Amino acid sequence: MIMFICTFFTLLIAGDFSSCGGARTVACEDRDEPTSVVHFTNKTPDYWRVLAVGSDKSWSGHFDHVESGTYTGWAKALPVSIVADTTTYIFERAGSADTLSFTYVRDIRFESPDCGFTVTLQELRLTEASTFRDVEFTVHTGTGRAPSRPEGLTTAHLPAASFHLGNNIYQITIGDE
Amino acid sequence: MNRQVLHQIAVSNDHLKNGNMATTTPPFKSILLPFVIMFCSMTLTSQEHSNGYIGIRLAGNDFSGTTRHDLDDTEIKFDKRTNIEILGARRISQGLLIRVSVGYTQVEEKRLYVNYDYRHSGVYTRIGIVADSELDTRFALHPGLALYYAKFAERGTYTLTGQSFGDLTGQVRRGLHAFSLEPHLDLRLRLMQRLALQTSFKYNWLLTRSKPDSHPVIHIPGRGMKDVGLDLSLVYQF
Repeated sequence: MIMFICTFFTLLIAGDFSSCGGARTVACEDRDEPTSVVHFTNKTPDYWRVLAVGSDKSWSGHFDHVESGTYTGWAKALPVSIVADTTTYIFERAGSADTLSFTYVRDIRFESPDCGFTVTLQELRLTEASTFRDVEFTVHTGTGRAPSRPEGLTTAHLPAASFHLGNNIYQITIGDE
Repeated sequence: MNRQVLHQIAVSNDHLKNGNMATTTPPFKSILLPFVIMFCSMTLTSQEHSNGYIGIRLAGNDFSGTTRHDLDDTEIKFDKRTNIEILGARRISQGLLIRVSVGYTQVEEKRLYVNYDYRHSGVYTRIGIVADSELDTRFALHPGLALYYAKFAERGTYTLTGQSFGDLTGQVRRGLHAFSLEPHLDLRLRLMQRLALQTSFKYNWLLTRSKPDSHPVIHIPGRGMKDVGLDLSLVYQF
């Protein structure tokens, strides 16, 4: 009988071997608020603050000047709401404000066991609430696979708490007004 | 605008979030199983007769544990795991018994995936025949074959974090089933006049099961995710 019980528990323990080994890293699409990059092509934004409807946060009105090849302009990254189908930014300047409001369809799905559930935005459209009219939406998709780091970016540019290369980028280009 | 420039803008911004980097670890497989089964089989030398038995499952395991997915051998231990199973057998001829078991399983795992809490509940049944071997008064050996059916529900809650606009939570609910053929070998050891311990070595050959679109099936009740398993039951013979 002792042999019988020992055999059972030996088998039970044999099934419980767990493991150790090297870690593996994967890139995932957004599992938190996606990033939009608001891009003015022709005029230097003179805003002092950016607000978003539904958020108690505010952002500096400073836009980075970017220049790459044929592209020049001023751009700023802002979060997009995942709790609503519309995001509205208010760009404040002295004495007036501009509004950028757009809608989208949120596609929330299971991406992979390592990534869990992620969200992508589709069908981005300008709404009537916007004061801008010449607006174009472009989605730069993250592949969800390990990306190659763009030239010029070092690990110093990619701290743990920062934008990740697997994420999508929703570019909002504002042209001549 | 090219993607490199966009990244440079994005990484320099102040609102952004935790990187979506995920880490897993790969495993080692147990290789003891065939040897232990061989050893166990060699200890059987005797015989016994009864008209049947009823019992309750005390413990069990699927040998390699349950993993998050096929490519990741990190085992899930489950934060909470309940498995209740009753079984019974009745002699239908001199050398054959019909064997039935029914069970209920509930498991929970917080953060099964990085942003997903998982719950599972389900019922299962086995019905089959077992052969009554000629052993002595203490040991009985019953090779058998059973049909296995499980119906179970998986529910989960995902949370997408929003540092600026708030978190988004959502629910996943899905009903699943599994059907399989299960050859098994029951080894019964009499403890007292009518009380016995029974170990069941089983190979569960899945014939069909649900294949949902979302995340993989995590746990099949009474079976786990591996084909080979082992149960220990306490039975009352009559």
